[in-house]
Amino acid sequence: MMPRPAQRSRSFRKKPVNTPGGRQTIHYLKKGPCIARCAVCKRPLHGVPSGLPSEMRKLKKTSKRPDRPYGGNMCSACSRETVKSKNIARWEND
Amino acid sequence: MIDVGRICVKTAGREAGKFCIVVEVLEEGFVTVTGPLAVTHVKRRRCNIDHLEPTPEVIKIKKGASDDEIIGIYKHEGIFKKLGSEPPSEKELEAAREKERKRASEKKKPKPKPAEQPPEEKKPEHRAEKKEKHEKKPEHKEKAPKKKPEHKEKAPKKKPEKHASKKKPEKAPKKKAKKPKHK
Ligand SMILES: [Zn+2]
Repeated sequence: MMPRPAQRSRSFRKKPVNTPGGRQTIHYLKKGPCIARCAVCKRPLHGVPSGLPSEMRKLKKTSKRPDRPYGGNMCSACSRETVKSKNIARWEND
Repeated sequence: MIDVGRICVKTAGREAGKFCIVVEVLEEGFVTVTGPLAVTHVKRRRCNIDHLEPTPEVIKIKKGASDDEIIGIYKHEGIFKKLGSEPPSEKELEAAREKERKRASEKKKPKPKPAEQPPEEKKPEHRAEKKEKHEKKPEHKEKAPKKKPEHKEKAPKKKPEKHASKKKPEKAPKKKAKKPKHK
C-alpha cells in the first residue's frame, strides 16, 4: 500500500501492524511529546505519563503526577534535597 | 538528634516541606510524629527517621502527648511565629479532631475483617472465575461439533426452544395479517 501524500512525512510515527488476514500494514500515528524529566538532574520522572493532550485530558489529576511538593517537576531525590537546603537556610537567617 | 520534642521537617511524601514534632520514639529508625494536624496539616503517624530533617527547635513535652497539649505549649512558647504559621482557630481545631476520630474508628473496624476473611476467600474466587472463563471458551468451540458434551448442551437447548416457541406464534399471525394487505 502506498501512503497517502499527506502521510509521506517524518512527523508521523509509523507503527507496523499485523492484520488478521496475515498482511502487515503500517499505521500512521501522531507523535507524542517527550518524556517528562527532572528540572535539576534531567533524569526521567517516574509516575508522569506523556501522551497527546487528548489522551492526557482523559486521565485523572492523581494519575498525572506524584502528590508531593515539586511532584511532576523534580525527581524525589532532588525535591528532598531542596527541602533540606531550604530548611537549613531558614534557620541560618534567624 | 531526633528525640521526643524535636521539631523536624518532613522531606518525603505529600507532607514534604511541612513542620512536625516528634512525640514518641518507636523501634530502631522509626518515630511517631504529629503536626499537629490543625497547625501544619501533618497527621499523627509513624515515620522513618530518614524522611525527617531536624531543626534547632526543641520543646519539652511528655512522651505520647496529645495534639491539644502540644498546641497549648506552642502558644506559651511562641512557636507559631518561628514556624511561620498562626495559631489555629476553633473551627480548624474541631475539624482536625473529627478527622482523627474518623481515622481512629476506621482503623478499629475494617482491619480485622479484611485480615481474616478476604485473603482466604478472594484467591479461590479469582481462580474460580478464571476457570469458568477457560471452561466457557472450550464450550463454544465444542458446540460446533455438537456431540462431545451431551449433558451440558441439553439444558441450554431447551430454554431457547421455549423462547422460540413463544416468539414464533406471535410473529406468524402478523405476517399473515400483513400479507392480505399487500394483496
Ligand atoms: Zn532530579
